[in-house]
Order: sequence, then C-alpha cells, then structure tokens
Amino acid sequence: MDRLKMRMFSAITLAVPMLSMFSMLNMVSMLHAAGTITVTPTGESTALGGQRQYSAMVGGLANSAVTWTLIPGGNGNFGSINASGLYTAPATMPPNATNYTITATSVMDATIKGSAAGQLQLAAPVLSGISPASAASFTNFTLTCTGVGFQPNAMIWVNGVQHPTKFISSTQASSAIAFYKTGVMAVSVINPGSAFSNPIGLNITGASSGGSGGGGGGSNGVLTVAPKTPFIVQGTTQQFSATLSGAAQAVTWSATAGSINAAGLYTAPAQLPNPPAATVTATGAGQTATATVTILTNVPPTITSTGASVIPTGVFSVAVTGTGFGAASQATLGGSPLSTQYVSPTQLAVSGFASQSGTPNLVVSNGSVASLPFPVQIGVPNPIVSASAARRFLQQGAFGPTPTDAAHVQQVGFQGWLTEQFQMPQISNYQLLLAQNQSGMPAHFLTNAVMQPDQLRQKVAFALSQILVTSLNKSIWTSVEIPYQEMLMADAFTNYRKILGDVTLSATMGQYLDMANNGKGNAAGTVLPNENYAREILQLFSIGTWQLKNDGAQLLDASGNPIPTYNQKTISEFARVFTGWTYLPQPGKQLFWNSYINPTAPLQPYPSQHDNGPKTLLNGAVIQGGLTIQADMNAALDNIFNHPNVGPFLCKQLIQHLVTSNPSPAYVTRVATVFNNPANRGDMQAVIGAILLDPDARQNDSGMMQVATDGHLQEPALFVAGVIRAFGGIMTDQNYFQWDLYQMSQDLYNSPSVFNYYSPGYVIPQSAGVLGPEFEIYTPYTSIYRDNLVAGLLGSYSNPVITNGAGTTFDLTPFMALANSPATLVDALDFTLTCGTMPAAMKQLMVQAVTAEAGGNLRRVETGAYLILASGYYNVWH
Amino acid sequence: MLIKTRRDFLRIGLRSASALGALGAMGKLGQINALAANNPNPNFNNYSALVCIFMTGGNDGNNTIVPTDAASYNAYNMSRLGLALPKAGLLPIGTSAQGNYGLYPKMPELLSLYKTGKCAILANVGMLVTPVLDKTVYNQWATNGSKLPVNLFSHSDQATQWQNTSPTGISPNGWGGRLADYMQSTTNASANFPAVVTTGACGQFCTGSTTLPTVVPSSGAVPVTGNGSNPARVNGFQQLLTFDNGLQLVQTANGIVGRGASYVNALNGLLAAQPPLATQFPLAPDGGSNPLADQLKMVARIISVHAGLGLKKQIFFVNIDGFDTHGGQAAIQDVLLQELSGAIGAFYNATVELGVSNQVTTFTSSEFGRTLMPNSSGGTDHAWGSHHFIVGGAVKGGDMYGTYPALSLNSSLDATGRGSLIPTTSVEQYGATLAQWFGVDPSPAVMSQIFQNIGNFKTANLGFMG
Repeated sequence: MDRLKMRMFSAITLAVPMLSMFSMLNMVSMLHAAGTITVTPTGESTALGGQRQYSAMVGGLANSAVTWTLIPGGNGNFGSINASGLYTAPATMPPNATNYTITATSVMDATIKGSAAGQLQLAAPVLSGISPASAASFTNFTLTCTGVGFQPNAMIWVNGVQHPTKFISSTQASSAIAFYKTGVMAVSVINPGSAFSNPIGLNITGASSGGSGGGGGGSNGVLTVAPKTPFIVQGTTQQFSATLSGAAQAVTWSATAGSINAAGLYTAPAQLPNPPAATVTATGAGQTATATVTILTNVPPTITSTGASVIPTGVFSVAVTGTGFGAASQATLGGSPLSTQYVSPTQLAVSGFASQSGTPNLVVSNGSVASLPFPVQIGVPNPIVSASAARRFLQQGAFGPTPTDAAHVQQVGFQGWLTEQFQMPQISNYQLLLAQNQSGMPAHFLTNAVMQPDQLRQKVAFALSQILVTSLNKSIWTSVEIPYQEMLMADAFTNYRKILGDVTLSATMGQYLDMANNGKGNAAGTVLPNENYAREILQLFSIGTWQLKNDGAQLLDASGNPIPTYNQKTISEFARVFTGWTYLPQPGKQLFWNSYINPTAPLQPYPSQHDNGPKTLLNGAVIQGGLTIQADMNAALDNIFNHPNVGPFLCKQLIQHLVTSNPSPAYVTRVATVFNNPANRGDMQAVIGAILLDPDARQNDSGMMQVATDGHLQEPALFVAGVIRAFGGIMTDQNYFQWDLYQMSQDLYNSPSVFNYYSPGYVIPQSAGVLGPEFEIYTPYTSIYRDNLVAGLLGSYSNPVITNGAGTTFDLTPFMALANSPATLVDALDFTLTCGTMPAAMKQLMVQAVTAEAGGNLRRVETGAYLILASGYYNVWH
Repeated sequence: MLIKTRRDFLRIGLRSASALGALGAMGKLGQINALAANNPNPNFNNYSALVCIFMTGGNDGNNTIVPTDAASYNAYNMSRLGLALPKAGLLPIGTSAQGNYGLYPKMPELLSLYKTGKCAILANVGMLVTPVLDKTVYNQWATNGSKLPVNLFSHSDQATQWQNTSPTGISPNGWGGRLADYMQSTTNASANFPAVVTTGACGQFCTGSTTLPTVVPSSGAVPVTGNGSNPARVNGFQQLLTFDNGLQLVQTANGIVGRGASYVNALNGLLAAQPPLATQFPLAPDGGSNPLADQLKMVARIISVHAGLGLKKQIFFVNIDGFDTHGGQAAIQDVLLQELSGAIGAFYNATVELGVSNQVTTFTSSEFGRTLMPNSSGGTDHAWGSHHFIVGGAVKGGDMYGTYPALSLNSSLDATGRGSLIPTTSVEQYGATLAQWFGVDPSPAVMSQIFQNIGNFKTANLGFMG
C-alpha cells in the first residue's frame, strides 16, 4: 500500500543519502507540491549489452506524457534510452565511471522531473544447468555449474551464501559442498563485479533418501519436466520441456499461477502471488510430471536503519529495518553475503563477520532486485591500530581480548590504553570473599580476570604473585592470602623497591618464609636466625644466584665461568638482618614475640629480638652495628634493590609472563635499561610500558613475523580466562574452574612451593635450550585435560549459548549463521581466537575439518572452536 | 638463503642449533645402544623397575635415622637441642659395622622391612663432583675452582643436580632418562609405552636424550574424550597436531598432546582388564589422603601391566612434598614420615602380591639434608648430605651402607658450622649401584655415559643391591 511512498523515498535518497528520512520526506513535499514524477526502478544495475525498462509515475498532472533523457556519470558511451523508457546499456564499460541517471521530464511542465539512478554492471554469467540437480543432505558432493561467461574468479552462491569455487572453464565451475537442511536451494554464479546469473534450483533431500527422486535425467519410461525447481522473477518467462526416456515428449502444459503456452513457455504472474510459488504440470504419454517454481519479486526492498549505529568487528548480529523484505531476501555487506533471517516485511535479522573497520554498504536483494546501498559503520572509525594488533596486545597486557576491549584499544591505541590502565584505580579485589570468610580465591580470580576492567594491573600483579610467591598451602586461610594478593595489585604500578619492602614486611610473606618471629638466635651461637627468607629474597625475588649482564645472560669471569652473586655466608648475614619482626597484635593487646599471625597489617618491629650487630651484605657492603631495626631493614633492602642484577633478573621474568618465554638479549637489555634509569630506578609503569611497546613485542602484530622461539604457553588460568573473554562471555564466582585449574597443576595461590607452579628457567626437553616455563606443568596429562575441558564446553550440540554451571556463559549464536560457509566461519573464529593471523595452511585444515562436520551449524561452530582451542597454535600466545 | 634481518639471523641460528642438538642426541643414542648391545649384565634381559621417591623440600635425615649409641646420641642431642628426638621412642635397628640406630618412632613399616632384610639405609649421600675430604678442602674449593656442585643449599639447583647429576646443574637430561635411553632399542625395543612414568611434574630425572616420560597421575591417565566418535573432530584434531608454523613452542605443545593421546588408550585398556589390587594403601595420619600412597598404588598397577606395554625396564618418579621445614619442623616431619613409611610398606606388599617384589626396587631421594643446628623458628635450614632408604626384594637389606657421619657441630665434615654435612657418598654412586642392578653394564665405559663423574669415586657399586 505504501509502495509509492517507498519508491519516492528511494528515488530521492540517492541524491541526499546521508540525510534523515524525515527531512527528505519534507523536502519532497515542499519542492513538488504541484506535481510529481517518480521514476522506477532506481538504484538498479544494468548489465553491459543488456536492457532495462524504466517507467515514470506521474502524479498531480493532467498529462502523464514524459520525455526520457540519459545523463552519463562520466566520459564515454553510457548507452541510450528510447522514447518509451527502454534503456540499452553499452557493450563495454565506460572508462572512468559506471553510474548513470535516467530522467523523465513532464511534457506538460518541463520543470517537473523525476529521475532514477542506475549503474552499469559487468554482464552476469548465464547458468544453463547444474549437476547434480538433487542431492541428499549431510552428504559431501561436488556441485558443477554449467553456463556461459564464467570468469576465473567466478563464485557459486547457494541460497545467498558464497561457496569456495573451483573455476574449470568459462563454461564450467564447481564447488565441494554439503547441506544440513532439506529443501530447494537457489544456485547462481557471479563474476567479480557482475550481477548474479539466473538461479537454478538444487533440491536437497532428506539424508536417508538415498539419492533417488529427481536427480539426473529421469528413469526410462518416466515423464520428466525440466527445469524442475526454477526461480523465476515475476512477469518474466522460462522455457520448460518434457522428456520421456531421454526423448522430447509432446505434452499439454498447465500452471497454478502465471501462464504457460502450448510450447512450454511459462510466464510468471505480473503480481507476486501468495505464496510466491507455482506448480507447472505436463501431461502426456498417460503420465503427469511437475516442476516447482519459486517466484521472485521484482520490487526493490529498502533499508532505513540498522539496529546498531556501529557494528563491531568480528562476528555480529544486527536487525535491519526497511520495507519490501521477503523470505527470499538476502543481505550482503560490502558485496559479501550475510546470513539473513526473514522476520517480517519490514525487518530482517542479519549476522555475519567483518574483520576490518570501515563503512561498507549493506544491500538487501530480493532475487533480481536490490535495495540502495546503505553505508554502515563497521568497527571503530579511524582506528589507531588494527583489529589484529589490538587483540594481540591484549593477549599480553590483559587476560586476552574481548570484542569490546579490542575495539577500545583500536580507538585509543597502545599508549592510550596503557595510560588509561595506569590511571585506573584498583578495581579487582577479594573483599566479598574476605567478608564472607570463604575459600574460592581461584574462582574469584577468574571472575576478576574475565570481567574487571583493571586488566593490566591484574595481569602484572598475577605475574608478581608468581615471582614473589606465597601460597595457601602454608597460609591455609584466604584471610591470610587475600591481603597479600591485594597488596600486589595495589603495588603493581609503583616501584619495585616499594614492592620489595611491602613484600618483606607483609604478614603473609612473614609467615610463608618465616621472617615473622625470626629471632636473633641464642647467646651461645648454637641457635641461629632462620635463613629461609634471606635465601629466597636473594635467589628468587631480586638477583638470583649468578651475576648477570644487563641482557639477562650470565656474566663470566676471565676463565669463562659464571660468578655467584652470594655465598652461604651472605645468606647467614641477611638472615640476621631479617630478625626481630612480629605480627601486629589484635586490638587492645600488647605487642609480644611469637605472636599469632594478623594478616591485616605489616609486620611490626620487636627490637629486642633483632640482631643489631654489623653485617656484610651484597658486594661487600657493610652495615655497621647498632642501627635501629628499621634502619637495618632499609639498608639491606636498598643494598639488594641496587644490585645490578635486579633489572635484568626481574624484567626478563616479567617479559616471560607477559610476552615471550625467550626474549632476545636486546629486548631484555632495553627493558632493564628502563628499570635502571637512575632518575627513577625500578619504576614499574616505565618497565611495563617498555615491555609491551618494545619492537620485539609488537613485531608480530600482523602475523608472519615471528621468530622460532617466540611466544609463551598460556598457563591454565590465562587459558580459561582467555577463552571466555574471547567470546565476550560472562564469569561469576559460581564458575567451576577451580577444580580444573587444580587438575592442570595451577591451583591458584596454592603453589607447591616458593618456586611457583613452574620455573622461569624451565628448558623444553630435547630442545637445545629453548625456555618454556609454563611447559613445566603442560604434561601429557594436563594438556589432554585442557583439551577435554574445552571439548566439554564446546560439546553441547544443542544450545549455542554455552554454560558451565551458573558462573560461566558465552554465546556462539553469531557464529551459527556463518556455518554454511566453512571458510567464513574459520575466518571468524580466527579473528576471535587467534587475532586474525592464522596461517593459511592451518586455515585450510580447519576448513576441511569444519566442512566435514556433518552435524549441523552448531556442531560446525563448536568443532571449529574446539579444534582451535585445542591446538598448539592457540595455546602458545605469540 | 640471504639473511636479511636480525630476526632471520636468529631464526636460522636457532634452527641450526636445534639441528646440532638433535644430531648430538642421535650420536649419543648410537653410542649408548652400541654399548648396550654387548651388555654382559645377567640382569639385562630380566624385568626390573626402579621407583624414585623424591622428598621435595629437603628431608631432615638426621631426625629420620638417629644414632643411638651413647657417644653418638650425645653429639646428636647437643647439636640439635630442642629438635633432638628422645632416644626412648626411636625404633631400634642394628648395623653390621656402624653401631646402633633408631628410626623415627612412627615408621613401623620401614622398621619391619629393615628387619626382614628388604630395606637398606645409605648414609650421608649427596651431590658431589669428586670426594670432598673435609671442611678445609671444602673451604678451599668453595672460593676457588669447580670441584664443588654449584649453588649448594639452593632448592632448585640441588633438586636439579640430584636428578641430572651435573654439578653445574646444566644438562639436557637426567639419569632416569639416560637409563631409559640405554634400554630403549634393546631390552625395551618392543615397548609401546614410555619406560619412564612420573605421577606429576618431574624434573630432569625423567628426561632422556632420545626418550621422554609420560605422566600418569594417581587418578589415572585420561584419553582425549572431547572427540567422541565424531570423525570431523578426530581427523581435525590429529591433523592440527602435525601443523607446524615454525614456532618451536607450538610444536612442543602439539607434541605433548600427541604423545599423551597415543599412549593412554593402550595403558587404560590394559589397566581396565586387571583385577584390583588386594593390597590396601594407607591414608594419611589425619584420615585424609596419603598422596604418596596414591601415587605408588598407580605405580604398582602400571607395573602389573608391563608385559602388555612391551616394557622390560621401567622407571617411576613419585613425589612427597613439604619437607622444607624451616619452622615448626617436629610437627610437619611427624606427618610426612608416617606417610612415607606407610606408603612404602604398602607398595612393597603390592609388589609381593604381583609377584615382582624381587624385580622392583624403591629408593628415596631429596635435594639436600638439613642443618643440624636448629634455627630460631624451631626448624632447620638447607644443608647437604643426608640418609636414604632402598627397599625391595633384591635389596641386601637390614644394614647400613655408606658412612654415617659424626653429628657434632664443627666436625670435620661440617661445611658451614651449622651442621651442613659434607656427603661421603655421591648421588652418582647411589645411582650407579641401582643402575647395575637394573641391568646396565658395570664397565666404566658404560657407567660413565650415564654418570659422568662416577670415575672420580672409589666404587660404582656400594653393595646394597648384593
């Protein structure tokens, strides 16, 4: 009923495409109150050498006669239009433009005009046949298309979805294909830049039908009609033929809609019937045979809006609002088909995958007619970094990318994101757990890691927690462990000297490595201070056992031997420094020696238990006797902190946690040099920035630039958080992963010893010295456990909304629509999980595997995701 | 190929290094196998298994096996002060030539095995490059030269050195792995399962030049269940495991999964067909799980299917953690030693049940002993030599081997003045004695392939295996 208005709107929109609908409608009524001419169709393409009939609808004028003119869009021959509005396109493409305008001018009043835009298009190939014409669902087969005008990059489309196509010749192309639903599919062929060929129906039967029924040329003695399932645009014609035992058979023809003459030439009805279908029947030789015709509309649809002003890169689902939509409507974005679900004549639900930011055109076509292009914003406008780079950066600086976070990094850039993160106050915490006095730190760690925005703080604090280790296996109570982990989060962006000081006086660490209540020993010298903290602060928290160069390699003496940083005597001396500290008493109680742990406050000095004799520290430095307990502590920590090993020792480990297990010596040197900056030695923000912005860290942002030893294996906690984040999922404390982390040898905050779950120096067995710290806990058992965990998550086969108990949810729905095109599905999974840099050879394996998945769209998505997540390529972030 | 960038250079360099590494390993394999082919050891072709129990953290051996003769006990008591165990509660054992001792009071299983001749004690064993006569020599070498193991008293370094017997800690493999290499293409030639099995993370003990361990936790190995019978997943999974993008860590990850997946079905199929063990494995003293017992139970089950796995030689690595008793040692060690003794006792019984008690030898190890002198937290700190148990039907038990040291502070063997005892027997001698029983040719040419410093010591056979 509103078709006229709709067409007017379409015709005008071309001139002012960016204005809103209301202002355009007002413009129409203001300018042409006396009379209007509307030219249709508008926005249509005409193939070279082809013709198109234009018509003018004249309103408000006594005389409806018009004259027709053609306005070329550029130089050269744009063809001609005759007096009755029949446009004939040129045989070859003009040199510098393809658009033209057709104008109808009133004979009565030459100021009243209407026009329609058109576009020249390469000639569509013509499809004359397909083989087979019928196939069973859930079966792989090769679809061969025969016709004329196929070009080397011609693509076969089936029901609006592009399939990988093998070009055979200008008259033949094929595609390996399988379908997972039954019904008649429209097959057509398109050359780059051309219109679609005429469609031919492909009948997909139930899987069990065994290929009888309809395929091939028909059995002997049976009357058959061809084509059997054509798509025919309203008002156009199609020739039918009847055969018996391979020979032409004279029949009488009838059709339930439209008309068919005695020679079998069928003319589809001028008005679209409801339903848009007809049955053509041939009767002869005592038999009848039928063809099922799908009638396509010739009315172009319109697009008025999309459900989101910005469509994110990656997979997306969005509502398209407009007019003239039908069950056969197909949306394309930038020329690539989208999965299109018909909702109503004014709404489609489309979903697809876009890897690049930009403003491609959305087009909806109904068979041979298409809407005007509707530009949509994909991804961040004017991104500073690519989608791939943003994702990879978030694998390093965060617990992996989420679609939202990746878009944000694209918008603000690496440095901008770092600045934001450094300025963001600490958000992640364990206060609720503490208030409820509950266990469950690992589950809450994952909640923070997946959900909280202070990603960099968490990531660095997690790395620090694995260098400056405390563990529930000794502290037992979460109320003891929580203050320590929150302290590391609070300190993550401060200075390493502050971190060393806070760690040393932490009640949790005091208990863990026996610094608390470490007395000065007895007068006889037969009981001496506990050496535990003294040894590990040197060996693990600051300098290590060997003197290092700034690049992290061992410094060698003149004979080529490594040089120890300290000896047993040094340990004994530091053990004496770390005496005389105890826990803060409970409120109202006196400070007393050997008091019970109070995890809420730093250790308190208890001077009478402090050994305040002189001590010899690192590099022969001596602190004189008689200093206060605090002065001794500060002098000792300064002595450690200023040892030249600290920079390379710490920085290399931080790089290993964030970026790569095997940093180049130059990379370590660059970061250690930042650590060593005399103006602000140990500045964590500078160090973190240097690690993440280093050329070595960024070099592989577009893929294919890795060195053989690049990357690091995702430890279990990173893996779990990363999977959920990649899909934009949701995690709460009700998640079930604590047990899984334990099974994978990373029972969070319950490290077996101060040596962490794995060692930074772990060498891959039989590898000629390649470091792979996380591999120490990646065994035949834990690795298969990990794969099985993923398989469990991705084995629902029934619901694309994946859950794992109440605490874990992510949604695969946007991928479902891509499953008919395995290559597109794999591209989308690659973009989502592997930064869009998956090597072609792996993609090929993935496409094969997904194509072979015969269990339907969800299983294709789940299998694709499972295979990537189980692959070494994914598990090693690089 | 033109080297255009630093990255190209690195890549080529690393590939070359890796190729050299592989060649080196192959060379060594050839050498070891050539030696194995002419092995005169009568035990070479019999089934045998070694089970290494690693007491992580550094067990205080001097409170595990305590001298009870008056003078020795008095020295012990004086050094240990409040940590000294009362003589009365100790479980008395005798020795042929070293006087009388007492086992920690809550180790009745080990007492019984000792008394029936199935358990031997090796005293004051530890990591050495070459014998260290006394503390004077130690002090000379500590400041000069490379005749001492590096980074003594460091957990990570000493644990690594116990396992790879490299005094620098730098070695591509460990002695369990080297034993497996030695047997790989001879006695174990028809194996369809790794010779070395660890129940959890293993250090270098388990890694060979040409062999790698697999991991079977006490809960059992798991197959790749995620594939179901879905051919798309199975095929895709298999194909992706072979995918090589040039990144070593990616290939490593794929290799680990692939190895695990290929072994597990064979093992689980055989285990499922076995009757359950009748031997009861104990719980911990508090009624909770005894992780060591659980691990040893799995070891016994895997031993029971060795024939089906095609293995004549097996090596196992199990772990009991928590011995780093810097504070509150008495209570911690009390639990751990009970767990240790109960687990070893049950495991020995299981080998009897399986009829392999003479073919399975279990031995303890730990990165170091602990200082005799207590610290101010009621604990002890990192030291050096310590005492260990060897258990099995083939063990010449009921006696002590090596030399039990004097336990007085500042004795000639006290390296640091805190009672860090210089070992008088090397880990390599300990290992070589076990290796000879295991079937390795005792000739120095062969033994030195597995224990590089064994030639520095008086004997490669300490006698505890007969």
